[in-house]
Amino acid sequence: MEPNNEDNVSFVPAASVPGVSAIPPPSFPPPMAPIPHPPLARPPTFRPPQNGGAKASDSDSESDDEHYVISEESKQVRERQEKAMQELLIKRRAAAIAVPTNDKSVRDRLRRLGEPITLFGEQEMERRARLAQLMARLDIGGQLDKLLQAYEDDAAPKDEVDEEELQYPFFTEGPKELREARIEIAKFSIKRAAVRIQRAKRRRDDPDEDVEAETKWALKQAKGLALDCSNFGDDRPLTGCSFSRDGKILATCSLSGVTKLWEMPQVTNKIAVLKDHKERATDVVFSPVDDCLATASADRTAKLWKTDGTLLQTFEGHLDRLARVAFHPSGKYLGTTSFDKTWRLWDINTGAELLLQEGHSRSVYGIAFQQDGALAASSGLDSLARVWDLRTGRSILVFQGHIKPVLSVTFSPNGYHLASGGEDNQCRIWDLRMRKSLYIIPAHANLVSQVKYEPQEGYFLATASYDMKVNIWSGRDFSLVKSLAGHESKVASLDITADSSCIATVSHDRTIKLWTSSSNEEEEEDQGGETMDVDL
Amino acid sequence: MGYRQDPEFPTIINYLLGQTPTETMAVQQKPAKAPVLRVDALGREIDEHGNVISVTKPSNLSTLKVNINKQKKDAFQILKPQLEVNPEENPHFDPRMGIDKNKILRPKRMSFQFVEEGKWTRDAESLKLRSQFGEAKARELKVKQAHLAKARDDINPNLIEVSERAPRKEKPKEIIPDVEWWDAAVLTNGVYGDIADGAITDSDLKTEKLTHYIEHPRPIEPPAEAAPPPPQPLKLTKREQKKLRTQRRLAKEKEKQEMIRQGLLEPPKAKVKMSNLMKVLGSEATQDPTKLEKEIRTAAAEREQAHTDRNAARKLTPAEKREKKERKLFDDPTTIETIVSVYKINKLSHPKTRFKVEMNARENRLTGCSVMTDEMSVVVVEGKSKAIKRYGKLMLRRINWAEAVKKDEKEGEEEDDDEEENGGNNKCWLVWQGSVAKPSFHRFLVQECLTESAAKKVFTDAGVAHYWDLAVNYTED
Repeated sequence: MEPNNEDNVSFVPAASVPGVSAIPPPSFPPPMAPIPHPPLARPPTFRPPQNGGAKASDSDSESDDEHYVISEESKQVRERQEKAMQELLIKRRAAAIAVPTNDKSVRDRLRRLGEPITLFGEQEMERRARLAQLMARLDIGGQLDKLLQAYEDDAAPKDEVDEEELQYPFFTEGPKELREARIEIAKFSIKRAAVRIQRAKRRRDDPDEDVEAETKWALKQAKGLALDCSNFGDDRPLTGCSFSRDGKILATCSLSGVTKLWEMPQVTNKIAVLKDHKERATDVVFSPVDDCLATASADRTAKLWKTDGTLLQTFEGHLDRLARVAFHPSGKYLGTTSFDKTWRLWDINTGAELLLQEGHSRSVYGIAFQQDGALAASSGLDSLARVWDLRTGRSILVFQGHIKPVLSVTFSPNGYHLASGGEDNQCRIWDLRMRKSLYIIPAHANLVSQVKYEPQEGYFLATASYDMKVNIWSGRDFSLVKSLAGHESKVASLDITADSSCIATVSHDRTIKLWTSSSNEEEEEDQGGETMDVDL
Repeated sequence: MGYRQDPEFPTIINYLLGQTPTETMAVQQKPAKAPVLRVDALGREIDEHGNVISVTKPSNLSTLKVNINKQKKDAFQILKPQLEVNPEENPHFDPRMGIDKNKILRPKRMSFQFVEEGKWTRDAESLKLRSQFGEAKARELKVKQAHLAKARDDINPNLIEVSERAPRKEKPKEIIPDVEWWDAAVLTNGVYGDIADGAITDSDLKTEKLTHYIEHPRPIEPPAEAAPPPPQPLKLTKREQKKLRTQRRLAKEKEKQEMIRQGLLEPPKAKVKMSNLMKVLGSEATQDPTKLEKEIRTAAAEREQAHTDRNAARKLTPAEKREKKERKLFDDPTTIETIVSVYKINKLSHPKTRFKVEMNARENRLTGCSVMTDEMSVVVVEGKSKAIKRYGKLMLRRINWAEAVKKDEKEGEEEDDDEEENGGNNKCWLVWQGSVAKPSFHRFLVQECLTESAAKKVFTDAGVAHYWDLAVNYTED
């Protein structure tokens, strides 16, 4: 309690500082203007030693101590003043303490402090006043905080115990149909995997097969890609596109919630318009087997349609907006991802939810199924790409490497490469057999919105980005083959026809652009396996 | 006639104790008379006794100078004494014999020690290079000299050193496994078997593994997410703010009044200004106005000074200001990620430009590297977003690349218009910009490389070979 605050601030006129000299100068004529150094003005005879801290600052007072005797009167006066000062400060502090106004909390707090809750005849106001006084007194003693803290410590720790017991990974039961679906998927995928491996071995060992020449030819075709035609797709930015399995229909969806089906090869005629979503449509995909397509929307549902425009099924169950949707290669199951941190597997025919898969710590965005049908990859805003075995239901691989949300994943037709693209402008290639990163492509100047492999053999990889470009990368050494520039705004999605002859891109500038290879006129010799038919 | 080798001449002579070289030399003297050719019925050469002299086919009929020289070189053996038996390994060796390996192997003074032409100079040069620059650089300089030497036309091509050819690494053929490991877990046999050809049955699968259970793996947190922003303070409207301020000030004043009333505080002196001089101190003013005026003015000046001093005290010191600026530009702790920019330049030869590139990178606290080859230069910088932006402005706008060609090149060929045009071709492109978890470089390296492989090596060492690959193939479309 330092009554003399002159030392703290320099040149402060005494009038403007609240705590000025505690000693009223006895017989001073009131000075007209604030005089800078009161010590100078004080007569040297009357300089009683000041209390406590001031002694240290005033060097003279120490020497004076021995010479001057303090009279009783002045001592008393000083004591009285000190007491008054203390009281004032206590009052000030008490006013600053936050005392609850709610009567219930006042009672709570009194209980906490171990004081009687109600005295005889006490009303709310008096109770509160009593609590305020108590708290003020404790506060000065420095004990208030301790008491309150102690109480909180007792109350808190019960919640933590439950969380600690949660052991990962844990298992929950799914529907019975899930098991049947898994067995079916297993049969389907094992057969296809066996055929694929056999074919791969044959291509490697057979002297008639020339993989190098095929790759070269495919890359040459890719290099010759040029803008073929462009058309407006909607009034609002387009978000997704997909080719039908025969390549005759292109479906596009936009922020207006409407999905349109266009006739190929010139995307000018609309075959059908699918209007049922209540919010914007975020993705559209055709079935690889049937003549139907699925759309996903921000209204938390996915819908299944026929190509003539009739709605077949609605898949409800997600708790937050959907991101992307993908068909299982068998055509019987549909996978959807959502911002509720799960991705789900649905049965097309019954519309039932077979699998609710958790495992991402943030929203799930990208989904892809392997061509065999054995694996599914999901990626999310937690920068991970997870690979799930659909048959056993386990998460078999986690690919960490991106540092920003991963927006798109895709499997290569060779069955063991996975490509992922994200917000960190990179596209990463992962090898499933080696279980690690194979290559990092510094793909674009802005985020990569969609990654797709060429569907025949995976000779090249196409990436679409918000920097308005689509880049084609070689599937072997991942060097840039071609950069397709033409869009005037962010490219949201792309798709490649099953015979790899045409690439469709949709963008936020509301256009659909088709890119085909301009070197089609040159006749190339038919080298084994190079024709457009899928060789199974 | 073939080149017939004299049997004694090329063989390695083992120095036995006591044998003098002159004896062996004596053997090499050719006979004085002309050689006589005796042939038997089958056409083979025979000597005077009738024995067939087995003449091996002449080993080399080449007329190529290289091969002839090589032969001569082989023939020209440097005579080095060798011990037949290694004294240390032989268990029967008696050290008391006094055979000192070094002494024996040291050639005797009487013989000529023939050394290849140019050996000592070469050794000296390589030693000098090695000591001056270190191993890797010494090798590079050798390559450089080889390049230069190629240009000279007076050199005997046979004398050029042929470096060891590194065996061509064959691309390891990717192993196609019989079964994908994720399928192997589900198959009963662990192999596909005949499934590819025939149908698949239930017995092929371990159906007990296919259950209806759903796994919930442990979720992994994203690596570089910014912390959620701290809770914002309560926002008050202007009216509420004003009310609060007034109330606070009133309360303060009231307290002061209380203390003064209780006698704890000295009542404040009246603030006398020129305008209320007569009102407050009427009587004194008439007595001595000059003095009072002076006092009032000084008091007013002091009040003003006190105000400015209080403000100045609250300001940051220049050191603190600098620190704050640096912190905001380079040490922003909210984002953990590092942004990378890869630039490609045609030519980075001008020393001034090189200096600019390097110093700006260092001052902006950017790590990375600047690699220059004859064909092109690649600059990679990693750092925080503001620093990267500044650097981008420098590279893409401020630096005039067209004029940043080496001066002495320009001066030397001023008459030649081509050189000027070359300067015009010089340009800088931003090849890639993106985010990365950790910076791959610890400081800013500046490296001038002769070969492309050396340049690629710089990047591969840092683990970012893909930047170089991308830059090499990047063309302005």
